[in-house]
Amino acid sequence: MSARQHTPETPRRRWREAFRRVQPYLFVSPFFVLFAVFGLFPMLFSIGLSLHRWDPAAGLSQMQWVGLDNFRYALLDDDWFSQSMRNTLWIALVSGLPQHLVALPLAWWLHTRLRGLRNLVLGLYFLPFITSTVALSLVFTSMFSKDFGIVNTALGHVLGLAPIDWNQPEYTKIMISLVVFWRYVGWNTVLYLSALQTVPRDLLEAAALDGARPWQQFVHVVLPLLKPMAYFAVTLTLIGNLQLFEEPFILTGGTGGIDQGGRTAAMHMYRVAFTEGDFGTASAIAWLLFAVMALATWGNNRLLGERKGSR
Amino acid sequence: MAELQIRALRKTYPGAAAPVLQGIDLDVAAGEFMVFVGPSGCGKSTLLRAIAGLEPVDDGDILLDGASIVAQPPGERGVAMVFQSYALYPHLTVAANLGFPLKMQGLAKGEIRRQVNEVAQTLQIEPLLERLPKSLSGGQRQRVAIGRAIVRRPKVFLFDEPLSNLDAALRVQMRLELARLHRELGTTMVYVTHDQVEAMTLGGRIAVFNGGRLEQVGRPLELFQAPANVFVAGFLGSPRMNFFKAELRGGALHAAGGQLPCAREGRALVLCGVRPEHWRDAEAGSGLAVDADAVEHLGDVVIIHGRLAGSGELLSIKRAPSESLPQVGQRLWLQTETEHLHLFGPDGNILPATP
Amino acid sequence: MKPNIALTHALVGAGALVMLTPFWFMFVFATHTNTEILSVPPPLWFGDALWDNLKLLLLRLPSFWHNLGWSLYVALATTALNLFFCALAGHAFALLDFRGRDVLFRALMLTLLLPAFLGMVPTMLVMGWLGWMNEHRALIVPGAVSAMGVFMMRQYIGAAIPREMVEAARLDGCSEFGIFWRLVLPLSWPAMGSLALVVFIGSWNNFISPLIVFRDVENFTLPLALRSLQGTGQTPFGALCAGAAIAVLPLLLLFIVASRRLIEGLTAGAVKQ
Repeated sequence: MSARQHTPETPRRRWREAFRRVQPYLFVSPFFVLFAVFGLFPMLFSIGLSLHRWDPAAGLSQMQWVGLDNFRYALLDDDWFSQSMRNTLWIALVSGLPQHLVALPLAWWLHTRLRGLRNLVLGLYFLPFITSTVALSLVFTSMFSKDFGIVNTALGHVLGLAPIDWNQPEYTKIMISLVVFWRYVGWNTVLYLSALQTVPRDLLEAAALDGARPWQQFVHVVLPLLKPMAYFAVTLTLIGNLQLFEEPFILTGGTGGIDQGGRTAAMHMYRVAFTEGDFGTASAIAWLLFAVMALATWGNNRLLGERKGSR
Repeated sequence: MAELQIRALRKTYPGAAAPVLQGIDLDVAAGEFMVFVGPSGCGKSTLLRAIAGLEPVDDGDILLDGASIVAQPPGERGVAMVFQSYALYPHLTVAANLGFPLKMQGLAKGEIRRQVNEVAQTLQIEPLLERLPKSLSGGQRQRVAIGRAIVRRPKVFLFDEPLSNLDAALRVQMRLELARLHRELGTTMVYVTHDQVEAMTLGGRIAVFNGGRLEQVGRPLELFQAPANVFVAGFLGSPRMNFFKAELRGGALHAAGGQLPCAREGRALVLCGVRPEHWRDAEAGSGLAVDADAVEHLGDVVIIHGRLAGSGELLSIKRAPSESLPQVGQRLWLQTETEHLHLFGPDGNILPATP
Repeated sequence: MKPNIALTHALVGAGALVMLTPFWFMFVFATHTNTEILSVPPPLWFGDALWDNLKLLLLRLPSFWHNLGWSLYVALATTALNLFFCALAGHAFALLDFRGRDVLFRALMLTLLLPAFLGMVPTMLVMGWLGWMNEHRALIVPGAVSAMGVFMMRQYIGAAIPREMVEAARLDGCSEFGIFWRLVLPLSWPAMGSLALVVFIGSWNNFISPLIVFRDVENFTLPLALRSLQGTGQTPFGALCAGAAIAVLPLLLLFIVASRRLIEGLTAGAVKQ
């Protein structure tokens, strides 16, 4: 760059010029620094950990390389791990599917039929999402009490069922799934509703003029347009449900329930790490869970994701 | 008041095929009102922003009072700019907007208030000092934007199409105000517009840009009466200058629809330009034959649109309503004086005067 | 068609009420003694044991008010830091031109793909090495900036801050940080409001991080403190619900006041506006 008769290049000017160039990086550095320290490093370290046997109480020098032993142990020998994976997948499915199957029509209903009260009703469904899982799960434990719980009372009155012992392994998972469903159905409704609001009104009117009844409009016009949001929402559900921790933890009093009926993979990892002090295996479990998560999101991508070039 | 010199300024946007500024050389005298004019995309705004320091340049230099400012950040160049959108700070009062540059300079509160009041007086916006920009009209916001520039006592004022967001009546009024402001302050001003009326009326000198190149620089009347090339000739003047192909031969212009006497020597294929207001009626059979297609009555003037017989090139004629008006379809015979014949060579430039 | 619509209205309404039942019972149980709660049928309306429950709560959990205070402190500190740093980064990504900007932003978005639990175990180690175990810094600092927050602020700043105004400020001699502090921050308050709500609620409800970090009840945040009441022999449901109600009340208030903004904040990344 040719520049004649420059104003004198004082050191101060050079320093200021350098500072100006560096400034944008300074602005974004807090995120990257914090992420590097509290996000990236732990993650990388846990990869390393998963290949070692280590009891942290013994000190850093006691790490022993064991290769894939931890993974082998978790997958083949650890009954509780396979049990917790089964539980996790079961709960993920049983609470996840209804979350969306109910949220979609609900959002559609709110969008088309409810004007004035819409915000109120939406708010009521959404409230569970923002409140403390722990606080409400504690309340739920009393509600699901075998002899005194509301749920059993209601079931008795409405369906004539004998009181269920929700702590029994076959029922624990149902209890957890119900609570998770309760928590997230409003969130998914909010997501679908905001997506519905971007559906052009003319499209629906054109369909109506073509003779489509509301139900058909929904199926043929709206659903295809909602696919991107469904993909996003289902991804969130998958990721969230697969790492479920708080609800099952509280609902089973931290134990995982009788016969580990309510133990999820994340809970198992927690236990292995902090109760048994086996950080190596715990890290291996974490990565196995991540692999399942990646697989699930990949599958979801195939199912609901946008096809390249299909528009 | 400072002189501005632009030397061989080049800039290309990353990924663009052609440079947006193709080596601009331009001098703005101290205290001059210079207008940059040209169609969209010609580079005039980019050049203005480069002077302000808002656009980096690839090559070349910008000198203010002899010192290069091209490496300096915008705040230190001693230039002030009035933006097209006024760019006022929406959450600050008018007084705070006006005082903002002074605050950045670190002046004391009392001194800031004094200078803000002074400027507000000059622009007659004192009653607006405690209001927020959103409660002001377009014209008022304009003044605040100008005020914010004045308060910095810059060496050069830069205006980026400041009037284009105003309605027509307000535009005329603001034009006069700007002219008055220049007279009062005497500061060097560079003004960008795409409106040739603003250019002609405000400019001490006009610089016409096209495709990143400076086509011609000079006083408005010079550019109007003696355009250096086809582009400048066609850009200034409304309706646009007429162009038709002709051959200069034996002291006459031979065109498709006839011929016109032309007191010039030489022989060349030219593009001939004649302004619509310069056509005169000729004897039937002499001059150029033009078939009238439409007659537009604008109240104070009549515009006749027609086609040159033989080639079909479009021509327009501007005359007063009192003169005889042709019918649609009628054939007219036109002529004009030599000095109103602008002859352009194949490269688009005006034919050099024959030695 | 009509009866169908009425039926669905009723169904939807019933669903909404079902959503509310846990809250209802939380508040109701907070006003009853344990024996009243653990009876058939359980009480459906308020009782008069609220004061007793609060006393019992403080008896079983003497640090309750401390825990409440800690929750408030951590949530406010995290929110304040988060707003500042996310806005700062958003400012840079939206308004500044610098090499690697797009690459860095894409990297930032990629971090969203990594679930939190992956680092759960090593995070504890990191906290140990830093000497932050049992300290509230361990909660505040990692939460001081979030990818979602940066994304939100960048979206908003990019859309709502006029470029020419920023250029005018530069011409006026304002430093970049000055532009951020004096112009961008004041003009971004809608997005910051949404982000503040999201971060505050996230921090207030956070359970896993405090679970890993804290050892002393004195330092617990509310969710952890409430959990500690569980499983100690006979769970004092009345007192527990009273505590839970106090934990939930601020959120309810926030929600009533700002649900629109909250929903906007939470769905910021989801919908292409």
